[in-house]
Amino acid sequence: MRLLFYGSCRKEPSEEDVNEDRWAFSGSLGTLALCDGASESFDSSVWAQILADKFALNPAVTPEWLADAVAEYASRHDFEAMSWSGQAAYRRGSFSTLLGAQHDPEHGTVEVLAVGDSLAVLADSSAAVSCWPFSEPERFRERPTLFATLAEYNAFVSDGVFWTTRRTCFELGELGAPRLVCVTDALGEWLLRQTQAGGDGLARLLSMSTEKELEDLVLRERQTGRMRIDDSTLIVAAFDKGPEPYAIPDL
Amino acid sequence: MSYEAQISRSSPTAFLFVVDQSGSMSDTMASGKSKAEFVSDALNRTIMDFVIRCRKADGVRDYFDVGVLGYGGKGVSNGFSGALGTTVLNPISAIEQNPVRVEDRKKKMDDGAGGILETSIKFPVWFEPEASGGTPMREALTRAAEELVAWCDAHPASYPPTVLHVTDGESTDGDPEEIATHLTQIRTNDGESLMFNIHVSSLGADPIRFPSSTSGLPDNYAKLLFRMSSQLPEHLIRLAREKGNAVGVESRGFMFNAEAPEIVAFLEIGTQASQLR
Repeated sequence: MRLLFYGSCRKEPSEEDVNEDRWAFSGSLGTLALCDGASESFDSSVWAQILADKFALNPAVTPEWLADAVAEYASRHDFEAMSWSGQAAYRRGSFSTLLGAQHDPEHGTVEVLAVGDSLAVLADSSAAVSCWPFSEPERFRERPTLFATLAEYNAFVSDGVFWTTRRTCFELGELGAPRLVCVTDALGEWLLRQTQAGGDGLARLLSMSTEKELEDLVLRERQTGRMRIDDSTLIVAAFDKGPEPYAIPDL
Repeated sequence: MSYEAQISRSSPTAFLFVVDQSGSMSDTMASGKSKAEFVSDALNRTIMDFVIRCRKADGVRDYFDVGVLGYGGKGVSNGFSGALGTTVLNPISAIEQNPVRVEDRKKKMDDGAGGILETSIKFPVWFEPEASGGTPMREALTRAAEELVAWCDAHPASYPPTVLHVTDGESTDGDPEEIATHLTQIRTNDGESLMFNIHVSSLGADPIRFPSSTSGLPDNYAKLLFRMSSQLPEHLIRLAREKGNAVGVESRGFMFNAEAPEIVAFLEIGTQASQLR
């Protein structure tokens, strides 16, 4: 797997410190993760980055995997040194989606795990082949289950259906030029509406070559009311051997 | 469309609590606390929740301006004191910095192994209970309207302010309806100010939650408070339903005969603005 594009547009362009979307990629392991930290969280960008980094290094998500991530989050904060408001906000927790992909070149597949409402689309020559975890834009109005820094919200990882309900396998098989498109929710909802209406949204995302182009698209669509205002991140990956347009450091 | 403005530091919203502090607020509720004590606890908890929602690892983001007006035997006064007492609406970061005191309280929590753990939590106090004299509701709403005019002028693109009025009795300084009507006409480009009313009771009568008409309301006083209340915007209808309330598109932000649990639930619903970034 190689990355063709990464770009993100903040929810508030004037507030440079506010973007809770995070990602990680490992070319050698063939893993990619995109995490969308929830706005109403104490430190969701750190939580999102921990999850993304951890998945890119080890995509076998288990209760222990998640407990390790929570422990790492805790180790980065000094609870005792916080003011009353910091302690109260910390106790409320941080939340994030995790969209993780792992390429299996031997079988020509991409396994995708989705916790929350970040979206993966398998595309072939600008046509959507499969989507995960949703294919209907209305699903983005639901309240997603997220990974939390509070153990009591993470019990769903231990139930027997965690992997069977949250993962899928994209078959690359006969596709001519398969692309994996990963987006956070506002962009995902817009993309599925575009696809549903026969629009060219997917082709526009696949044609992005600079972050500025993505920002222009997002700001324009927000202005027309067609896209919700939220951090909006796009990652596009390919599965052939070829040059990478960006020097993306491997983990 | 109204009530859709995104809330950010450059475009905050405002919550103004208007709290009855008349003599009858000293009546005791089922919990053993007076109405004034319970309301002040619920209000402090709500303000603490505002702070927590805005508190990030790097500090408090000013998404909200918050104020409290109390009215009773001393007339209408700023419910905040000290550094917060010079203006009615204060940015949430200033509120976080200036509680009157921070109490240590005990809270029972799940210990994660099937047991209960008692832990100490910090409980900041900004607003103290008071109960004396009459009910100058008209004067209080007039003062609230003045605050809202100034705030909306300064924040024309913001999600409009929300007034949460907590009372247990009838106005003693004239009919407040005209002022309430004026208050809800004060607007930003995103819509008219919202006014939600909660009538606090210690009588144990059945509460009436988010009515959509005056039918079923027991008396003229309840009907007056109903008319003084704004219709719930769509996102609050959704939230009220999620919390188990039977609300329709014409439901208003009003509760009558509210006991302790209804007060908490009402403040929880009434203080959710649209989209907090």
